[in-house]
Amino acid sequence: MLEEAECLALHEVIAQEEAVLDTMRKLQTEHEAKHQLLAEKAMLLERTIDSTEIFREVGSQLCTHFMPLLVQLETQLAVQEDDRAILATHLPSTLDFIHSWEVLKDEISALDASLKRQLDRTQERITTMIQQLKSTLALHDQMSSTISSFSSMIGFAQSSIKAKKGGILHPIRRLPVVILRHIFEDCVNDETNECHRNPPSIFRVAPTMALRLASVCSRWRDIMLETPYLWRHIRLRAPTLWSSPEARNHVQSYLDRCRGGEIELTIPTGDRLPDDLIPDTITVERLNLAADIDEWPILPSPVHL
Amino acid sequence: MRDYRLPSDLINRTTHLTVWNVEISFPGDCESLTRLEMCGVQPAIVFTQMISQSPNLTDFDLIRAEMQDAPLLEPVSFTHFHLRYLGLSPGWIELLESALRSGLHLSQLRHLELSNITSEYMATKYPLISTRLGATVVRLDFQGEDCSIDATRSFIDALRRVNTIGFYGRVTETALGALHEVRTYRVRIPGQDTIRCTREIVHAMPKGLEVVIIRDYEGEGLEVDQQLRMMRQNPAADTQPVTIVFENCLNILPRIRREFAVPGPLIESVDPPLGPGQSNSDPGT
Repeated sequence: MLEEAECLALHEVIAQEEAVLDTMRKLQTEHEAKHQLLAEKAMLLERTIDSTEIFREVGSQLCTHFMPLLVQLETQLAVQEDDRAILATHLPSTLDFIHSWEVLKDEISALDASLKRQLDRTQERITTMIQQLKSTLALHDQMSSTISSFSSMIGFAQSSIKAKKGGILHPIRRLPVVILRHIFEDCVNDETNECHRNPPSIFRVAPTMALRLASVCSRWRDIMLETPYLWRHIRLRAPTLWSSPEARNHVQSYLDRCRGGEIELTIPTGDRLPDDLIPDTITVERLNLAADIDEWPILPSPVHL
Repeated sequence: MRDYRLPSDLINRTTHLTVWNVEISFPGDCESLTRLEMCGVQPAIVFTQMISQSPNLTDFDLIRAEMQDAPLLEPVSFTHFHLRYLGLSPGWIELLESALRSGLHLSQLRHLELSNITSEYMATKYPLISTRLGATVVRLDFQGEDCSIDATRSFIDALRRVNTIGFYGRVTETALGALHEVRTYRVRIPGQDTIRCTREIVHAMPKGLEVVIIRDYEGEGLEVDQQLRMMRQNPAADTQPVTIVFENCLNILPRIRREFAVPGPLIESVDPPLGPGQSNSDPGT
């Protein structure tokens, strides 16, 4: 038992010594770290000392360099002191000048204010005049357009007068009726002969010359209507319409103007013509019959004449 | 084509009738009809039918009519005493020959107009036209798009009493050669540096020709000017100088129009007239 107790005591001692040993080891480690830190600082200090030496050398070089400049500056300062003494002798006249300058400045200010007022008034007048000018320009534009429209009206009236004068004085107006009738006959016959020379044209072209001549003026219309021979062409539409009132009116309108004279009848073939469509008393000088004509031109009725 | 029987009350009041693509028929004889113009497609029968049913017909124009069927003809034996003008396109010529053979007489026919006379329509194929119509026809016209010089000349020679010949439209330049044609040959003589030119008159001016009418010709006349000059300078020996007439030729140059306005030969030195078969040699280099 005793030995065990001793053994335990020894173990405790050993444990205490090991703890002390650990503590010692930690302290040693800390000391070593501090030592290391101190060594680094010492190194930094050495480098600082080296830099300081360099700065010192540079400083001495700069002193050497700037010393002549300093001397020069002192010399210039002395010169400026002399100048300041000279200026001090002229100072009273400068003060007078400044005073007069300030007086002049006040007068300029007063003049400036006066000019500004005048400028404001002038500005107001300019604004008023601009407004008047704008209204005048608008009036001018209005007048110009009015003048332009009047000019065109005058031009139109002049051309109309000229045309009417030319029409009134045209030699054709002085032609006797007999000669005009001959001319109309030639026109109508030319159209007809051209068609007769090339037979398909009889069917494909409606002879409208008589209608056109009669539509020119009242005098020509009267001459045309008094010349039955010129209304001898009658064209009928499709056979299915022959019995219609329109076809009868159409034929009758030409027969009326033809006044019983010979006619030229152009018809597409088809049903038998109504017996009473062309009265027995009318001589059909020319009869034109056709089939298979693509487009059958229609001759307008002269009812309106 | 439509068959259309013209009502008698209408056709008996009509003097001129123009039909296009319509086969017409009359209810009986049509005394009033004097001019009949048929165009488009027409049956062969209308030829004798219209002539026989229109005793007073003076002008019968089939120039623009195309025969629809074969020219079968019913025997006709009658004389038409008023027909003075007959216009035919080629198909109808054979029909006319057949009609003449079967007894048709056109005693008053003076004016014959033919269109598109190509080489297959030589007058020698139609002996009755030559003999019967040759005695009465004094005017012969040619028109159309195409023509043969030889065929044209054959009709001119066949109708021996023709004194007026007309050329209409496009055939003018070609057909004028049927009146007067001279060919020039150039032959190099062997062993020599010379060329021998020989002129030969192929067609001499027809005897008895008095008037040449050119109508609806659209050219300025430069193409036919030289030919017309030669024609006028070389008339047949026993005939009067030929008169050239331009009708409805709007583009003919005034110089040419003036030149041919006065009938008779030009006042210029001309070559001596040459007869058919004669030749004139002119050596050249």
